[in-house]
Amino acid sequence: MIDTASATEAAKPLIIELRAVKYAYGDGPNVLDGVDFKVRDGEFLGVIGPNGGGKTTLLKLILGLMRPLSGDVLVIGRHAADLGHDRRLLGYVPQDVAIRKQFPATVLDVCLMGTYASLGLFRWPGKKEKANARQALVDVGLEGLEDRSAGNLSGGQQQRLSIARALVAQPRLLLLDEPTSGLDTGGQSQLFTLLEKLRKQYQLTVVMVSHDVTALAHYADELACLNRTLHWHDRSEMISEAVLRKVYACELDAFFIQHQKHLEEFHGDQAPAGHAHGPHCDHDHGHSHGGPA
Amino acid sequence: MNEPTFFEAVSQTPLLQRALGAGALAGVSCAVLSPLVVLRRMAFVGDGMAHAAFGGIGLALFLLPNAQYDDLSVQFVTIAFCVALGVAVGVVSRKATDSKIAEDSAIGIAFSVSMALGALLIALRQRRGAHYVPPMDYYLFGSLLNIGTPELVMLAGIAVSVLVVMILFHKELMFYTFDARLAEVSGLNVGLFHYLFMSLLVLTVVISSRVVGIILVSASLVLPGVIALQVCRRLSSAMAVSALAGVCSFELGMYASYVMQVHPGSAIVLIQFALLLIASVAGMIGKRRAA
Repeated sequence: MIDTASATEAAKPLIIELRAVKYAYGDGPNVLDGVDFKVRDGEFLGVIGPNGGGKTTLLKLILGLMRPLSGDVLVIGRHAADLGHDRRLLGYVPQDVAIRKQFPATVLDVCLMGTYASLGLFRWPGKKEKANARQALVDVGLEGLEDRSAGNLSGGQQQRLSIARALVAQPRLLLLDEPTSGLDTGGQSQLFTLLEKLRKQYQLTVVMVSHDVTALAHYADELACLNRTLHWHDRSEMISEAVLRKVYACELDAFFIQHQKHLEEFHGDQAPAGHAHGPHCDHDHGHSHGGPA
Repeated sequence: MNEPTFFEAVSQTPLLQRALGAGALAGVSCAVLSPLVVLRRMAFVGDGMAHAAFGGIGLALFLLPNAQYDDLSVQFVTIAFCVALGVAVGVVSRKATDSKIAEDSAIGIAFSVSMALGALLIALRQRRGAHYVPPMDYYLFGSLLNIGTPELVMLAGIAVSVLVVMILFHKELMFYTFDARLAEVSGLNVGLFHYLFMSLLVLTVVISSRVVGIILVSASLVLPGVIALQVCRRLSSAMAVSALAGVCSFELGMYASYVMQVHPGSAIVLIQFALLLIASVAGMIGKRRAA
């Protein structure tokens, strides 16, 4: 079964490909040091890692805001920094989604901003764009709030608005930066449920950077631990206590027991115990190098 | 003999007509930019730029010993000076973590040093005495009641440019103001719109401050925008209300200054403040009704 699955996997187009990527700020040490990875169409990748481990740098490189010192960052087969107008294929939900209370825009106005880049100069959102934006708002559960002031929404609603704004550009890839950080447990599980639904509906590839190891292990297809280098697990690898210990030694020993419990609950009725998409992190690389803060 | 009323005086005096026209044009240019200045938290940048213009005028008068205060060459040197200063502030404060000078401090320094430089150079120029150079308060408060056709044409030019840019690039400027990083990530050429906006701001400041004075320009870049944001829920309406507040305050201010025989500048700023109080109350009532 795994073999058939991986054969289909290999046929799926690559959405993100990083080849031997290095990055450093100024004369500082390498924040990323030889990072390789591939994300295929439709996958949900979770990236965890300590502060200063390079998670934000990785996102900026994929978004094309910076170029790597060496190596290639390819998004949909092209260099991320040269995507130009095709950047709209990357939906980005930033960590800080707070909208200033005084900003004069309705919820629909903010959602429509997602269409601006693809509309180009001198063209205005028309019926089609407005219909798409209303649909995106319905899809994230903000129906009926179109004419509200965006700044008056709650934190969770503003985050869903940010997702709707990303969706309305019809992206292939959704990048989320620490989306669970401002949410309570209920809000977090709602967010993941929503992402699951949107992934299928919009046929999205999702990359989420987060501290929330437990939730990511629940929902992500694959989990990678980033601490200057990327520690990537093999999809067919059996999860074991030893592997988990290695992962959490990267960051959060304390989460170990809780995490395992969650995994059992989650996979208990779907897969034999111990057979699950598991994280893998080489402890020696992960911790002892210690990324710059 | 009775003093003529304001309206009689306007109908009889071309100088007063030009003053009203110039006030409306400067009011519109500053006020349409004002919501963006306020939302981008650039109130202090606008203020700094208006004061930097004074340094530019001083430098121009000093470097061009035969130039008159209202010569075009003086305006060009002033614009160049403001742009250079703007770039310098940007470079010094660009990398917030690397730089030892924060942006607001850099603007504060540029602002006060320009004022000092302007005052010094104007005094030196006055001492040479070849041509008449107006005293310092002339630049601070402007000379609304002494405007020629060339100034009026330049003001009309900048007002039209501001309006055209704001209409044509409304959605880009809105996204850039909402969140520049997001706009960049989505594929907008944020750098282009940043420089477009900053150039309009410099031109508006330099050209309007020649006519209405530095103090009135800094007020008009902030107050009308804040007034509009109290009552508007969309950027396009905020710009329209801001423009209306700008024009009304200039015209009412000139009326008040005629009736009360005071300088128009102070009357205009105080009227803008009164409008802000009214708008705040209206905004609060509106919110309560909505709730």
